[in-house]
Amino acid sequence: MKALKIISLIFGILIILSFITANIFYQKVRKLVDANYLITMLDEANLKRFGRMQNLDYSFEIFSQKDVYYPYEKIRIFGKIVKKTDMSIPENAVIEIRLLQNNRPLRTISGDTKVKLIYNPQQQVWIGNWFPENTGEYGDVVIRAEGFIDSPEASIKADGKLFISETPLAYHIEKGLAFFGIESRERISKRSLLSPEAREVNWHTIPQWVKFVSADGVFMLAGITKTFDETTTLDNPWDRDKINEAVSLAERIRQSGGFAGVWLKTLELEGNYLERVGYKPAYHIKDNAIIKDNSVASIKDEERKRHIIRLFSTFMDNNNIAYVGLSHIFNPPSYDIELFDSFIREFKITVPENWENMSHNSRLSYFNERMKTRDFADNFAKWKNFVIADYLREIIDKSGHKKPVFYYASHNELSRNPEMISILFSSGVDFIVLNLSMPYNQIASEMARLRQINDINRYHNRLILSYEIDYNNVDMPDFETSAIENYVNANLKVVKLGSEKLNAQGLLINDLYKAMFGKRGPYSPYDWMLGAGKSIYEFKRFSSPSPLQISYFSSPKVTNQTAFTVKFKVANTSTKPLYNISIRLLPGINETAQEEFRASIQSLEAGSETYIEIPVKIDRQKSQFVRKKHFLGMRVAWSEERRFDDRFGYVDFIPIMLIETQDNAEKVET
Amino acid sequence: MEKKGFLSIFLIYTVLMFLVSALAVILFFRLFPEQVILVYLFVGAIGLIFGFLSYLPFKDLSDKKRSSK
Repeated sequence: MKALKIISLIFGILIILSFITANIFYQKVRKLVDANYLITMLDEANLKRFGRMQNLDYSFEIFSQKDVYYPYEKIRIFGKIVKKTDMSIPENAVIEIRLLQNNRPLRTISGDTKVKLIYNPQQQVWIGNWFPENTGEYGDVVIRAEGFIDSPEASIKADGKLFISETPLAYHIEKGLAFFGIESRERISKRSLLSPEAREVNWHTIPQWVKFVSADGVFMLAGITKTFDETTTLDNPWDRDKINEAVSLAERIRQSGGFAGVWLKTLELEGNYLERVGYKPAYHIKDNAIIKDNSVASIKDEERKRHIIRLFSTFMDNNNIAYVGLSHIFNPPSYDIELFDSFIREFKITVPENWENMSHNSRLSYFNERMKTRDFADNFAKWKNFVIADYLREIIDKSGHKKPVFYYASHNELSRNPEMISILFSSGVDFIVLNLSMPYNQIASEMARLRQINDINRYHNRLILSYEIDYNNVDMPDFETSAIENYVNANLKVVKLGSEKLNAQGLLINDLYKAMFGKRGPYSPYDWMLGAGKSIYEFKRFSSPSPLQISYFSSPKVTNQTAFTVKFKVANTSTKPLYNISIRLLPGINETAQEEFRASIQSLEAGSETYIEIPVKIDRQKSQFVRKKHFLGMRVAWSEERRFDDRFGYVDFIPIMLIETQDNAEKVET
Repeated sequence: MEKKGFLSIFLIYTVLMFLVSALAVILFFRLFPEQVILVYLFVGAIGLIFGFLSYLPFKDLSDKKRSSK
């Protein structure tokens, strides 16, 4: 009995001691319980959910090529599985990855939430590409990988992480910039143009025009490749004369205090002989057949890319050039078929087993067949955006990005690829010059459409917009307003209607030579230049109001007169006095001698206003075309300091409708 | 003697039971936080075993009490 007592006492003390130790060394007890007993209590589905069923025989790592990715960048993911015991690699294993952002799965451009990594025997890792569908998702992303080893063993899991960041903006352009565009492919030195005094002059007068209308500079096409020119070779791909001209104009513009932007045409070449030069052509699908385009270089052509980078870097290094740009990278959706091999490889498209042994042509026809399915073609188009973004990024990065980079885009290009603006800004482009061309009465609806489909709205502060000079677009046959007035309104509408919140950053007159030689209708080059000048003046007033307000009093209809008087009210709405204010009538319909039509005011105190009258003599026979209206151009100039003359100024016009009636034809009023 | 015997057995039992049950409850709740009923049943069972084990060593105290009657 005594022994029993002792045993009981010992057991009692043991229980107490065991509870004390178990509480002190709780973590170890927890592990022991987890390892031996918990698994038997939970079913397999729950275990999977908790991710507890780890296969401890293998080490599994998952990582991306870079830590930070930008939109439209292919995310390259690597996985590595090694057996711990003998360091062997289970080559038959399959790795599946998912990307999660805030525990929400991300999708690829094909709509999948999972991507398989494929084993690469050379590098001894599993590699896969993720093309994110929604490129506007920024922030931390978790790579959740699951490896299935080719044996009846539990799958293994690993997590990795990466960060998706918005592409930083390298250069911001000022608000209210206005430029003249020159997109002529011909050499401008061979073409004449009108000077501000309406005399026929050469291209050296362009800086004068820039100053005359108070524009900020010129954007000019500088890099073109003429494949029809026999002197164009792989060693000399660019039209040297055109480049020299552009650089020389840039120098003149800079000397006169302006900014010059030059751009080069990347993939679209002049003429149909690119193979003679040594470039590789782009292929496209037309009527179910694959056809090569001898005027478009392939995006795959490394030689072309090298040439673009070289010229782009030259422009970057030139101090006279303020902005450097590119154009013609976005081909129509049916183009760039030659990329099919890369697409199949990167997108892991299932192909026939003997794919590697198939001839190029049979592979191409297999691809052509697959392109008939809508999903496949869509995926190809979306994948191409990533290729273009890479292409642009490489050009910009390799040339240094020492000054603002722009892309010169056409309306067509934008309509064809709604993602164009996002792609450009994601690849390092700082601003876009967008040329719009649409009938005047469709501007509001078209701008609303662009706002909805494209990112115009979001990036309006990085856009310079232009409305192409085309008489047919701005002439409204049933309206009294003239084409020139509509052109001015069109320019203002496009810069305003692209966004509900803000105006476009800049305005470009597209282009100087279209005003001189383009589809001008019955209006003279000078009339179009007045329209351009007034557009620039009105546009600049959006961001910085003019200190001088001029309003005129003149009958909009002039019946049978050849001379009349225009009365101007000149008001200084600023808080500083203004000096040397002048209103000068410009040549056109008015034929008064230069000295007579210049009215000037020595100084005008802040807040005061005055009236001046200018007599106008017009030549009714000057225009041989029937026009709705004639334009009395004027240049208003002033300076903020007494000693300067014509420091600031703008061009405006008064539209006048000339009416002749039979019974009063002889009456002349003076 | 009677009172002294009863008091000591009462005190020893209370202190030991409190100690054991407190330790058991803390430990099992940390190990299986979701199994509330099971934890209490388990701790109860341990209490019974412990009570039984504690009976023999201190049996004399109550026996003495009974024999003196």
